[in-house]
Order: sequence, then C-alpha cells, then structure tokens
Amino acid sequence: MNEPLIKLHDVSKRFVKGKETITIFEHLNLEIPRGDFVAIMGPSGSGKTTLLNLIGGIDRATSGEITFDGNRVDKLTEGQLANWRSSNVGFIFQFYNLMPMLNAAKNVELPLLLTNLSATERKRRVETALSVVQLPDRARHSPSELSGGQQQRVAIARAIVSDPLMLLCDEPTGDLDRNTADEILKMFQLLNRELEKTIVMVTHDPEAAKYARRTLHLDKGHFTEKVTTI
Amino acid sequence: MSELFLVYKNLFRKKLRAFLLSLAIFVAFLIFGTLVGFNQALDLKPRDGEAERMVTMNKVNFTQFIPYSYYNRIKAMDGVKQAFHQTWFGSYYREPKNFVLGFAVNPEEFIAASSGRYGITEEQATAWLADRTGVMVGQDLADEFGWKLGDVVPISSNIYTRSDGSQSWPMKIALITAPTKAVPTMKALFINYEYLNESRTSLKDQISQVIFTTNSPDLDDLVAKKIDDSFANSSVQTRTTTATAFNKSFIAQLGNVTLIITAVVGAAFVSILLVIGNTMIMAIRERTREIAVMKTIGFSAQRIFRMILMETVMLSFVGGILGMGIGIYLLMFVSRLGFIPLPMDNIWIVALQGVGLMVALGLITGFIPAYNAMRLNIVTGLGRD
Ligand SMILES: Nc1ncnc2c1ncn2[C@@H]1O[C@H](COP(=O)(O)OP(=O)(O)OP(=O)(O)O)[C@@H](O)[C@H]1O
Ligand SMILES: [Mg+2]
Repeated sequence: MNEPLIKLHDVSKRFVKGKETITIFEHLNLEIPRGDFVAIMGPSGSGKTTLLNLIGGIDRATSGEITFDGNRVDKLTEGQLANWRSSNVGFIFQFYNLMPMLNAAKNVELPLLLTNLSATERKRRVETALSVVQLPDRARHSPSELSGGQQQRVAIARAIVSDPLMLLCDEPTGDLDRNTADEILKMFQLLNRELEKTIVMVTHDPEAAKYARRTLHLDKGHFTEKVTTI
Repeated sequence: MSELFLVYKNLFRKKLRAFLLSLAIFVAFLIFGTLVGFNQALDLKPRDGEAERMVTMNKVNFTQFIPYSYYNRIKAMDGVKQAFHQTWFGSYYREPKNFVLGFAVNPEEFIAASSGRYGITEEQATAWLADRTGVMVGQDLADEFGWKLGDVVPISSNIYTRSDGSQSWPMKIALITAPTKAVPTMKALFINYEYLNESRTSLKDQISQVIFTTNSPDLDDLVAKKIDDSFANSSVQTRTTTATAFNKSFIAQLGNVTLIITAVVGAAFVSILLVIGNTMIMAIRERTREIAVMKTIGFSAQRIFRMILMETVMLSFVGGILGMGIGIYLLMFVSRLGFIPLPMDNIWIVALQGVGLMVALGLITGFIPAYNAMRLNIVTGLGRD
C-alpha cells in the first residue's frame, strides 16, 4: 500500500559526446509517493530536465531501475512506452508547445486521438478539462490568439484530459509574470489536492517551489530535501 | 477531430505553399490525363471475336500510293480471308478549312468487310450501291454540315483534279451511319472508287491501302511478311502491319508530338517529384518540435510515419484528381471534334493508372520526411527549453 508511485533505483545517466562522457547522475535514488507535489530546483545543467525525461519515459537511463506504480518502465519497448505515456503521464513545458494550426479545444483533444473514446465522450472530456483550467470561453481560439498564461492553461488541459496519474512540468511558469505564474501554480495545487495528481515540477523560482509539498535540490547528481510546511 | 482532420490541418497550415504544390501536381496530372489518355485511345485493340485488321501500304509512308494491281495480288494470296482497298481523297467541304477524313472505296467490298463495324443495314447497302456518286457519311459529319439523305453536295479534293480543271465532285448522300459501339463518333466519308478513278486526271489506278483479315491471327505475321517479300523487288515496295500499329503511325504523322509530350510528362513528373519531396522534407523539419511533442504525448513512431504519408498522398490527390479529371475531359472534347479516331471507352484504365500514380507520388515524396520524423529522438526534438 505504501509503494511509491515513482521509484528510481540506482539510476545512472551518461551522455557520450565523441570521446567525452558526461555523467549527469550516478547511483541516483528517488521515491515519490502517490499524491505528492515535488518541486525540483538546482543550478542550470544539473540534470533537472534529464531527470524529468527519465521519469516520463521519453529518455532512457544508462543503467538502473525506474518503476511506476510497481511496474518497470525501463523495460518497456518504444511502442509500449508511447502507449504508457499516453495513459499515465501529462507533460507541461515552459513554452506551452501547442499545435499552432489547431484551436484550443482541438489541442486539448489531441491526446484523446490515441484512445477509443467516442466523439461525444471526447467532447465531454475536452469541455471538462477546459473548465478545470477556467478557459471554456476560449475553446475556439487558436494559440496565437491567446496570452502566454492562457496558452499554458490550454497545455495543462491537454495534459490532464486523458486523466493521467502524474504531471511532469518543466519550468511551467518560467515565461510568465508573477501574477499569471501564481494563478498557474494555484491550479497545480488544485490538481494535486482535489484531483490527486502526482506532480513533479522543475523550477528556478523559489516562490514557485513554495506551492509544492516539498522541494528537492539537485546538485552534482545528488538530492537534498526541504519540506514545505503549508 | 479525427486523424484525417489533423493530417488535413497540417497540410493546409501554409495555404500558399499547399496551393502552389497542388498546382504543380495539377499541371502534371493534366498532362498525364491528356497524353496517356490519348495513347490509350490509340492503342485500341480489336474487340472480342473481331479479327485484327491488317494494312498494306507504301513502304515510304502511308501518304504514298500503291498500284491497284497489288490489291488483286494480295486478295489472291494464301491466308488472306477478306480484303478491301481505300484511297485518300483529301476531302473538304466548300472551304479547305472544313477538312474531312475521306476515302474512296469499292462500296461492295467495303460493305462486305465493314457492315458490322458501321452497323450498315441491307437497305442502306442497296441505297449506296444504287448510285455511283453515292457517299457514305457518319451521323456526326452529316449533323455538322446539315446534310440529309438524298442531298447532292459538292465534295472537294486537295489531291486530285478533274478533266475540266475543277477539284470538286458532286456527291449524293446515300447512307448515313448511326453511331455504333465500334465507331462511337464517325466523322469520315466514303466515296465510290470507280467514280473517282474514272474522273481524276492524275494517279489513275493508284490506291492508298489494302485492308484485309487473315484466316487466323497466327497467320498475321506470316502473311504480312509474304506480301512485303513479294513486292520487295518491285519499284513500289510495301509495308504490312496491323491496323492498330497503322493508326498509331497515322497519328504520329501529326509530328512526333507523342514522343515530345511523353518526354514532357516524364520531365514534369521528375521535377514535381523533386520539388514536392524537397518541400516536404523542409516542411516536416520545420515541425520537428511539434512532432517531438506528439511523440511525448504518446503518438507512436509508426503513427507519425503513417500520418506524414497520409499528408503527402492527400496533397497528391488534391492536385491530381482535378488535373486528371480536366485532362480527360479535354481529351473527350477533342475526340468529339472527330478529326482523330479516339475511342474513349477504355479511358477508365487511364483514370485508374492516374490514381495509382497519385498514391505512388504521395508515398515517394512522403517517404523521406516520414522516415526522418519516425526516427526523430524526442529529447533532441524538444530541444533545450
Ligand atoms: N542529448 C544530450 N547530449 C549531451 N549532453 C546533454 C544532452 N542533454 C543534456 N545534456 C547535458 O546534460 C546536462 C544536464 O542537462 P539538463 O537539460 O538536464 O539540465 P537542467 O538542469 O534542466 O538545466 P536548465 O536549468 O538549464 O534547464 C547538461 O550539462 C547538458 O549539457
Ligand atoms: Mg532544463
């Protein structure tokens, strides 16, 4: 029952560039329980994005075990991994990464193309997701017609539309002003508390990190922890 | 939203680019539809149960003449089943610009060989044979000039002159053929050879071609060789081929148009292949980040590959269907003018080939970008945030 949702055991990650080998982590261990909201901070180049990529199954560890909900993710084939991501992980990026030729509603619907849901059910889910991020009136707008904050909300709606257990956010407020950032961060808190999403958020901003339940500092391949008391 | 909608949105995200690419494909398929349709129409083989007709003509080319005596010798040859001869009349009505395809034939022998082909009835045959100035015309030609049965009209020749110096022959419209399956549009006229021969001042007893069938298709080549060999040492030598080959050589006399256009079509396709292939490679490269995002969301590599191929095939169809449609329509229009015998009943084969070509064009131009996108590493594609 106390099995963590995400578990990294003895994970190493090295990049080989020509004759040079860059080691990002060695023997890294990490456990994130279900329902946690973790902020990850650390100097640039410390491997925060790389860590998120490993947890989200878009990059592979050089060695070690990565477990999600008790299952070994590192053992999956590329096809299985794609399938796993579509149902378990929602990604949120700093620069939103919406499809420019699709309107907000269609952007949110995109992950549902990978499901067998009926058109009506998909529509219902898109509407729900858009109302969670408080943007139902912007459904027909294209990304270029939306502000940064609104685009990020669409991106969040896209990340939650297939109801994944976990959200991975890489500097989600890095491009937003303080107020907008706070709104987005409150939304993450809501998603974490009300919808029980497990959230891992990389950030440079100590203010942003305060919204998380705890903060991990990554430096030179190791974590130091600080628990936020709310 | 369906996957097809997504593909469509991707294709038309840059309207001008999509339009220009479709236009290039449109032009290529316009040329394809016209030219290949043209070739197809020329390649008309005899219908089931119909023997292939053979044609003997002057070896130099088909506008030259052969002596009438050759006709009798060919008719008497072993293996020759049924024969008739025909002679260019170079006909026009009133003004040289009203050119009409016209032949002088022996009506009796012509009817014996061709009544089925043109649907000539007993009564019609009798009417034609009853008058040596009688002429057989196709319905389409009669309609064009407003001729009725029994009308006597002046038909001029740009080849022959009469003893009084005129080049015009009064002819009686003795037979108007209705369209048949074998000859859906008939714009030619057939006059009586005797009538021409006795009144022309030059080229007496000269004919243009002998047309015949053999006892069996297996004999065709043998008989053709025998005929050409037997005249090999005469002053006028012959060439004997199938009617299909003859028709082709007839059209080819319009100039080596077929060859030139074939080269043009080939060049057009090679260039649009390169242009579209290259443009698509760049278009997909511009979308690297989006493709990485789609993969992150869970779209599999195979799915991405498939979607890009769908996009290029869709592009190919947008321009292709329109281009080929209009090309074939133009061809049918030309065919209805009737100068060239172009039976259109096998044109669907060309349409099918065209669709095949569209799929092929789409798959070929899409393959490299689709492969690149399939292989794209997500982390690389997302770049450094
Ligand atoms: N594909 C790669 N090939 C080689 N080196 C890489 C690759 N990806 C990342 N690195 C290196 O790994 C290290 C960690 O990169 P990462 O992007 O995870 O850092 P980060 O903590 O997210 O930094 P930032 O705060 O600037 O986003 C860096 O030194 C980077 O140069
Ligand atoms: Mg980073």
